[in-house]
Amino acid sequence: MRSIRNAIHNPYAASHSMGVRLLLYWFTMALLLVAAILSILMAMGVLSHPARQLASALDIQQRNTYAALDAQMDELTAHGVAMSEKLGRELDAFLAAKGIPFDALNDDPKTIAELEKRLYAPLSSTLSAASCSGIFFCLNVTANTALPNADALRAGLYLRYSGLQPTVASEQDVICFRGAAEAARGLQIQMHNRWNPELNTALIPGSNKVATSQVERLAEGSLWAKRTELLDTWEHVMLLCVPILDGSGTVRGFCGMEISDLYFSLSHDTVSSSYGNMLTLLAPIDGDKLNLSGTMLGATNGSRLTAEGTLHIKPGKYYTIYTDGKESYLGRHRLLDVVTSDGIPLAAVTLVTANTFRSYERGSQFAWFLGSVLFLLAMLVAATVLSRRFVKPINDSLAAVRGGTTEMVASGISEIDELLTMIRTRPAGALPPDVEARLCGFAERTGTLTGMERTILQYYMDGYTVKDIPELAHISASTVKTHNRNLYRKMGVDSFDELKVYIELFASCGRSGELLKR
Amino acid sequence: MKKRIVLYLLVLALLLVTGCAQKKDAEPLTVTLWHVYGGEVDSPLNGLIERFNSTVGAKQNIRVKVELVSNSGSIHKSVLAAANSDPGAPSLPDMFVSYPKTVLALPDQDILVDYRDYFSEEELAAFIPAFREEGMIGGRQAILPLAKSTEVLFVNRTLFDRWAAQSGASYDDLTTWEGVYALAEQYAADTGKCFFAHDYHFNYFQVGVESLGEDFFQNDGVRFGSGFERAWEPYARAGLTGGLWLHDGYATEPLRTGDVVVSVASSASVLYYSDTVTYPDNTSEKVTITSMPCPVFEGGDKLVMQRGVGMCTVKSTPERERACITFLKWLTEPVCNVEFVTSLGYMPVTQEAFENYLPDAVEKLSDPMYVSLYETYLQTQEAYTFYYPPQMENYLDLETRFENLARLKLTAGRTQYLEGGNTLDALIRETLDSFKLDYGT
Repeated sequence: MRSIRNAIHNPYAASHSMGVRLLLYWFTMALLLVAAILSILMAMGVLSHPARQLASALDIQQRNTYAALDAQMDELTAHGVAMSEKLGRELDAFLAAKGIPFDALNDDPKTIAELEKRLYAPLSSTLSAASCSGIFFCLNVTANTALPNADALRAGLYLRYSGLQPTVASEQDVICFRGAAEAARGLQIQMHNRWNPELNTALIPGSNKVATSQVERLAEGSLWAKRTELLDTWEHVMLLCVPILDGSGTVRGFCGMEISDLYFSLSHDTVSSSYGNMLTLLAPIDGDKLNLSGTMLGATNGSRLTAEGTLHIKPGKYYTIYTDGKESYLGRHRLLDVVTSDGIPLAAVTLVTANTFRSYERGSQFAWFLGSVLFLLAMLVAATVLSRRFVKPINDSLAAVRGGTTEMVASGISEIDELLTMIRTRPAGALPPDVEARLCGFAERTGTLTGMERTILQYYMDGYTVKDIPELAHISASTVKTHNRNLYRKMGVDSFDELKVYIELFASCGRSGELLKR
Repeated sequence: MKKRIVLYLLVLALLLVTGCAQKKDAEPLTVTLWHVYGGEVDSPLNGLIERFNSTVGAKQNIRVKVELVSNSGSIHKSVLAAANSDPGAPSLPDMFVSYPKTVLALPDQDILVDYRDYFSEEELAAFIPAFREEGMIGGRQAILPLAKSTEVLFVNRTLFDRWAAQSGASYDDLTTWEGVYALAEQYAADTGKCFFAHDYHFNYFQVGVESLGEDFFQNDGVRFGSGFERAWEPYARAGLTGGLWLHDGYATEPLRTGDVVVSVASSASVLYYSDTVTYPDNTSEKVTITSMPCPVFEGGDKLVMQRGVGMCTVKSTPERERACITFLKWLTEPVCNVEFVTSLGYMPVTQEAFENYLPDAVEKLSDPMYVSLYETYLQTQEAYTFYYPPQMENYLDLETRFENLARLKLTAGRTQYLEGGNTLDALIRETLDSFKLDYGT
């Protein structure tokens, strides 16, 4: 390592081996290769900022989430309107056949049960076709007007899928949650464990408005009741309410569909990504607050998100941050063209858990760091091996020359082999002609030196350095400097080092005596 | 140099492993569960699961997610559809509740974890041997007992007492099948309504025939011996005269509408019984529902059906399987297990829970329906022998066909009876012969 360091600090020094220089060369090449790869990856976007990558992935998923939820709610409203029209027609036909006015249904459980059985068909067919977990209608009549809460009770049928599971709708069992027992048994539908004969509209937020307001277009009068607990069950639901009009345009009740928590979570699975599972939410967003207790959550695998509390929304450069103070989520949201019964707009939301993303970010940085280090280490090993393999035959060849063996050891490099062949074929002790000429010229130039300059040269030949001269020659350092300058000029060298090379060359050839002869 | 490089690489590899582990820690491992505890009502198990998720689960980064709460029949269907990869079928969850019949019907039982791989001998020995034994299928502990139930008689005391005041009916009559069916016939004659509902007609015959000292099953079918005929006679008589509820569905349904007064059902169905009866005119009445030990035949053994599903874990990855086992070990710890079972009307599954924790928990119960149920448990345990259905591959098929056909034959017979087509005794014989013929042996 020390030799490499020296080579870096003084790359032109003659004392460094060919192996070290070659190692440096290979390693520099490796670094250049890493730099080139990194530049290409940067240009291709592979190495871009993880937050930017997340933003891009969130954008794509959010577009899908929005489109899916928008389509689902549109489709349900369309089904609701069509069902309402069918129910209105069936109601008119039933009343006409019975020859009774609508209000005569009040306090008549038997006729109500009969009507419910008749209205089952449009309800059932819509349930099979629509993307929902339950379906219902209720009319502005009750089987017992004498009851204290009769104002809120409405006769009707409410069918739900029982034991909802992630499979096709045709496999689901339908159960009667609300409706006359006689109607349920007549239709051979099992009754819910918490069955009741009528719907309590006081528990359906906003339903009173739907059931009483006169509207010209059914779609206009429809409304999404905010997420609410389904009485005595473990589920929460969102209900679409569409008014039912009779032939004269009078509102006679309302009908609609249910989306339960379970149904929503089964129909909106998490989307796995490198940044963690992406979650789908249908959430009421009021300013900078996302109300989780009013939110329909898609599958939440890989997160601890539950439909409780509030998330505060903080817009960010790459993504929006949603936090409740303990857990944070990163994502996007976009308002749908739907407002719940309490006037708060619903939004399609895509989230990933912040912890998972941070973990990915750290992992990604660490992987790159590790990859780079491993690559450089591998390159260093490769450079060492290659350098050794390159230099070893040359060293062997030179060692053979130094050892004076008669047999030629090839270095594998033609130029070096030629040089060594030439050296071998020359008489012993002879120097190359140009070197010999340089040495002779150097020796001759000593004749031009003054006495003090010759004395100083002799000190240098004896191994002393520039610093030693003032004391040895009893002169000042500036005088030494002046003598040195003249000495270098006269001897045709540029530096002390070059002068030393000549002195050592003479010494190694055993020709030091030729100097200062003249 | 070489040694140093190897050392550097090892350190880096260690750092890499640590980095991966950190990533995994951030995401909870979610395991899914299909269960029956609660059905359509608010399930106490879901509350316990939330507690697990926020305590042990949070520490160990596990999240149990309930994906389906239904009845055992529905889960049986879904599990088989998933295991057979039927079109449109869901994927199997990590855990599902099951009777042995479901495991036996699986195309490959090896998809289930053998609990002996995760529970030590000592841990398994803590379970009540009979409960544990029921989950041993093909030499493997494929089902882990979580909670056990038995069949009991539920009675709407408010309606019963009202009618008894006029008719002279007594609660003693409800201790034998002969008495129950006689009351049913009398109640139908008095009120024109049904008196009694069975959750499982198949269980009545199965346990009844065995209690009379005969085998109910023969080869892969049912043996129609004298015991069966004896069980059929009062049952059919009550059905034909209108005292026996013959509609599909669970007994909780007609009790809620006041259409029956008494039912025999799983003790676990206590969760579904309501203390309110709602009539067709939308009026409601608060009632008292209590339980009694299951009726027996006069002169027969005191035998009662042992019920209650166990939990199967589907083989997946070691991490997922370990997460499931962590949850199951937590749920079967005595304190937790007793809390779980007493909120649902079940019995605990470990000896320690039964002896050391159940009595205290029962004393703390305040709901009269639950207090009565656990008194009934104690009486049943003292006086009855528990009966376990045999492990037969076609058990479910036999049960389903029996339930449908018995109701069908009696409904048709009832119509004939109302039309005055034949005498009651002749109709009893006719419906039996017709049932035997269509059901086969």
